[in-house]
Amino acid sequence: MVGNLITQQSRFAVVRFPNNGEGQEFKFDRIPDLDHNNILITGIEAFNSDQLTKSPDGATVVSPTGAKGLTVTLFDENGVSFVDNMPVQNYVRSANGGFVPLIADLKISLPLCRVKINDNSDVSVNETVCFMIYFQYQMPEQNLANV
Amino acid sequence: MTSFFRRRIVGDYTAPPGRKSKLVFLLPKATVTASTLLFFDPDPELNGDQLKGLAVLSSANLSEIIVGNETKTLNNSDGFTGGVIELRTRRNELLIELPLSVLVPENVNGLPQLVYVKDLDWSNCRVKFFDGGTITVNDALVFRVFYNG
Repeated sequence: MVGNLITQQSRFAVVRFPNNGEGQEFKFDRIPDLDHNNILITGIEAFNSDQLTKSPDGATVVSPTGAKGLTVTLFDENGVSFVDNMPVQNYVRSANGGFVPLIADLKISLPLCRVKINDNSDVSVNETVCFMIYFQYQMPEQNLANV
Repeated sequence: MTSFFRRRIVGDYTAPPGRKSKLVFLLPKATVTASTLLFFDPDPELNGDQLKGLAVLSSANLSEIIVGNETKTLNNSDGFTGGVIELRTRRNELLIELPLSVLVPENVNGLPQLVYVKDLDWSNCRVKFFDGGTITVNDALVFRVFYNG
């Protein structure tokens, strides 16, 4: 069998760039639905303006060339990074054969996660980069060590 | 990887997402803007846990379609970058939100969007737009849905 992500639950996650200085890091907006402690992240996907021209709040989404100047770092519930400075473009589905990058058995701490501007050539002030967080609810009886 | 399949985190994209498939339509009453909201007609066959996959058809695969007495055109894949589909439960709780553009097969290497939902109410599902675009009253948004029914 050859697999791709099955979407059970998904929510937008947005990072805004109030300025565009190279080397600066910006945090994700809070998503109340992901604050619960029984959320297991199953995948993450990034969008540039080829997939989504405006973010949910109406801000302009960064261009594909702009996205190539960005990296993302993700932290788990213990504050330990499990993805460190991954190019945002690596999370764009259309740039990866249509596959959604999978994340297994981790609870994300979104307030700690951040996006870094490495190259601001095509990143404008007040632009955003959008992500989709895919997740499922962990059932009380679910023992991940046995699956 | 086996546990990923068992836990329905991943599915075999080489197999049909569902036993059946059909087209469903959304017909804008005006050119879409950043505040346009379009609801699907009720469809009991898609309620509950029956929906298994989704795709948005573009003009690359179907140029026009007859809906009732009207002929509607389909947008090219660039026309969907302002819209997002929301799948919701009977209690109107949000399950899944996805940009329309990633549901267009030619944008994602032909891979279908697999979903696993419970308690879905198709009549609560909708497409909302964050940005205006090229979709007009002469167009139809055409979804191919895979379901077990």
